[in-house]
Amino acid sequence: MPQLTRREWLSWFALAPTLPRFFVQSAQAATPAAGYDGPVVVVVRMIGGNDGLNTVVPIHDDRYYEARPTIAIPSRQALSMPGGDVGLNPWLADVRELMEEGHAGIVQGIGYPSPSRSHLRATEIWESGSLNPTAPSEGWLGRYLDHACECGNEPLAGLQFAEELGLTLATRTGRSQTIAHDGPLLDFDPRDPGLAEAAARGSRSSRLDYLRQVENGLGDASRQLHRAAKGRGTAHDYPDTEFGRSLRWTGDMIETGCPTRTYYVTIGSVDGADAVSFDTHIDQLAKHRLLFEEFGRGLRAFTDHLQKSGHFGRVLLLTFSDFGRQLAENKTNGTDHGDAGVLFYLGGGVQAGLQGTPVDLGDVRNGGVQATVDFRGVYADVLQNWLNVDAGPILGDDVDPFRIVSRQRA
Amino acid sequence: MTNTPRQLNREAAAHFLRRLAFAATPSRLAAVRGLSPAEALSRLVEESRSATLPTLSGYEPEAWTNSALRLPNRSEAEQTALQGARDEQHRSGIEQVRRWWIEEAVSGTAPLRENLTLCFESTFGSSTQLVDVPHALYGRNATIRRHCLGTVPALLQDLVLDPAMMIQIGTDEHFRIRMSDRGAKLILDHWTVGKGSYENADVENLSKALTGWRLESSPSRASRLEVDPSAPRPDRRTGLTPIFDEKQFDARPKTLLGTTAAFDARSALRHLALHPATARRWSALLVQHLGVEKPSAALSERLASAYESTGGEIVALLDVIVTSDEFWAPENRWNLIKSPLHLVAGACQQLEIAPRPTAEISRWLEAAGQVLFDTPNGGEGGWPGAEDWVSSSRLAVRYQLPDVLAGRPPSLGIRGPQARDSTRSEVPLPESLRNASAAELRARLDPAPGLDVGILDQAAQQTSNPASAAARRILQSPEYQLA
Repeated sequence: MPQLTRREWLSWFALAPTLPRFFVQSAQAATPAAGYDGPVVVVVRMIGGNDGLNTVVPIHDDRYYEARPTIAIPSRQALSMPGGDVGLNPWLADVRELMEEGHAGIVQGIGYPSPSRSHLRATEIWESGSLNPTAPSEGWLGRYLDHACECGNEPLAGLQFAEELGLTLATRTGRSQTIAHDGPLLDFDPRDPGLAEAAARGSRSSRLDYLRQVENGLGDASRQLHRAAKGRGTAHDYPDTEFGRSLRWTGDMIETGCPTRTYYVTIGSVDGADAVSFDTHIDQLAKHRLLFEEFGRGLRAFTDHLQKSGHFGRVLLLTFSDFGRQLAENKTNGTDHGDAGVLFYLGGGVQAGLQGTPVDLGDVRNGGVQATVDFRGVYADVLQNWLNVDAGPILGDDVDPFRIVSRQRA
Repeated sequence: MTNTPRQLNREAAAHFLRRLAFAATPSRLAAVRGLSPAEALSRLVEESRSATLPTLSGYEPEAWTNSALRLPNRSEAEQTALQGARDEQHRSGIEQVRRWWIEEAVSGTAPLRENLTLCFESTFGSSTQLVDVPHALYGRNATIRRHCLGTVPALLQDLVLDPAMMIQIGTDEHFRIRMSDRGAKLILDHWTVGKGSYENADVENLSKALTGWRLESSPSRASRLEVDPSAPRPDRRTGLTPIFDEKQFDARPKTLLGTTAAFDARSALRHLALHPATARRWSALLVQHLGVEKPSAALSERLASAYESTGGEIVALLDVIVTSDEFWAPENRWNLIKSPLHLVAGACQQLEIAPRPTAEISRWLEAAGQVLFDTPNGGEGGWPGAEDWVSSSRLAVRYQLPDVLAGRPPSLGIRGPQARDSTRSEVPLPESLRNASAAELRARLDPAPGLDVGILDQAAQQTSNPASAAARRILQSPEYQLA
């Protein structure tokens, strides 16, 4: 997956005309600005390709029940939805409640033309926000951070809880960072900028400059986490999972005024023998139950946490997943890679409820259902109406916004 | 003016040892100081050659038996249970072999040998997805260690018929009717002449030369079981002994890189190993491993010609490197980012850590991005090294080294502020350093210039164990990541 390599990072650093970046940052960090109180976007990646049809269930369509004799959600089990045309997966009770409260929504039939069913390529398309065969090496929100965000030299403008930076927040300017392990960051004593400067004067090695720059990023992350540790996330019922804990840190960071504009957390995993992901080729019902309960509980806690602390109005969360899945079930109580899926969103300024046109089960190509909403329209709306920037230059194409944002932020 | 010292002073000796022997320790510094670079190299080579080759009893490739062989009369449920048990046994066995290797690398008995073993393991690449039998991984590691101070052709010849390698590249059942030429391509791309130096026909012809081999139980072993021939390969593998079957060998003459002969596996590998492109490739590999990232054309030429004139002697290449101007050039000093194993091996030796917490080190290596026996991209191409070793997440892991040395498992993952154990382990210091000053600790741990005593004293203030605090501060510095 193309992303900003460390070498490119370094070469950017080498081009900085006057002061090495770590001085600028250290100097800033030494006098922390007042808390950030502007808009925030949280991206949640649902790893593996979530099945849209067992999420928003076409309970009145016989074609659905015929195609899925074993794993269809019976209409009596599905959670009822306004209008009654479709139901919701029974393990998404928290999400339905959030929808009823006016905080959450689902876009059905989300996708794009000529969809890919490869995990790698499909993820690249979603994360870059581009259908271009050679995807840009910065992500859709990375380009926002690079070009449109008024975040100056802000370190940690993008933050992903992961080992490696995914494409979504990849920037040209090194404004995004990852946090994979919080313990060592909380243990780390950020360096005294005065001493670091004295040390740097003696430096002859470009590698040492590189390492100092990375260490400086560590210091930034450490400061932010220390600040966020004062947040009130623990008072809320976040799931005790990597996803839940990452989302809780996100909530704590938002609450405590961390300058991060865009966050990225992940639900589902493909590492390790016991890992469960949305790539539900096998035993889909059991996996959905685990993941949807975790997801819903996380969203509920996140909403309560930020409402209580008065920051919910600043937050917009949206999900993406590789692809939807095929209409027909397979032989292992699961479904295989398909096309259109669903997108969840949540926040203090959204148009709640079910959005978009249901997929047409009569138009199945190669087993997959076709998109009715282009995901780039959602991105355009987020950029334009939530982040208040011109979406055109960032997304490259003229994409009409698909509204999920209910109001323009002041 | 030349950069190469005639005799190693303290600074030059430390540079030499950091690059070749993981770290400068007082005894090694004393041993090489005053010597010329070539003499110092001989000293390290002798030390490694006279050290006993380590073994891990019970893990010899011949000792392995497949406890989940697919037999025709076995029920599906029985088979699944056996496979599960075997896979579990393999997983824990691999971890045991890993810890054995870590112990060899960090103990400091033969640091040059261990440094080269690490370099060549990366060159050949490894994947426990492809090779999940601990005995095979152990066998290959032992083969590399045995040959790492010998010649490249001998190493390559033995590796092409090494059980782990055969499984990894898919030549463990390689017959006249070839199923795949992938193995031949991997050999050409990664271990010999490299991309761009061969034609498609060479791939096919090398593949033909490799035919006739399979892995099974050794003929001396009794009781041949009737194995289901349609089972997947791991479930019908009876042993790890390479067996040559004349009937399955394609004996016709083959043309390899312009030479026509009745090549078999060994002679084909020898032919490739002596090719000038292979000489250049291995020269580049070694010189980069020792920290000269962009060798000049002249140095590359000298290395290639040393390779050719000595038949690929590894020590001859090392000799050219350590006597070269570039190895000693100021711009090449302190410019090598230590790999995680290099880092921890150096620290253990400098601080005389014993016994070594190999389980904790193994977990730490994994988080720092160097899982032994698992190089990136499914085992193709090795660890990229350099800046790839250090992202901010990985630097955070590296900074847990003091705790890991004290035997504490690294704290990993997103755990939340409440899970935090904020107590810090004391850095385990040898008796002679327990009351050492910051300057003495800096001299021992030998970080890159930049950490002045003021910084270390500041770290040591207000702690009940100032030496431990200063050592921790050094171990947790960008300067200590460099060699």
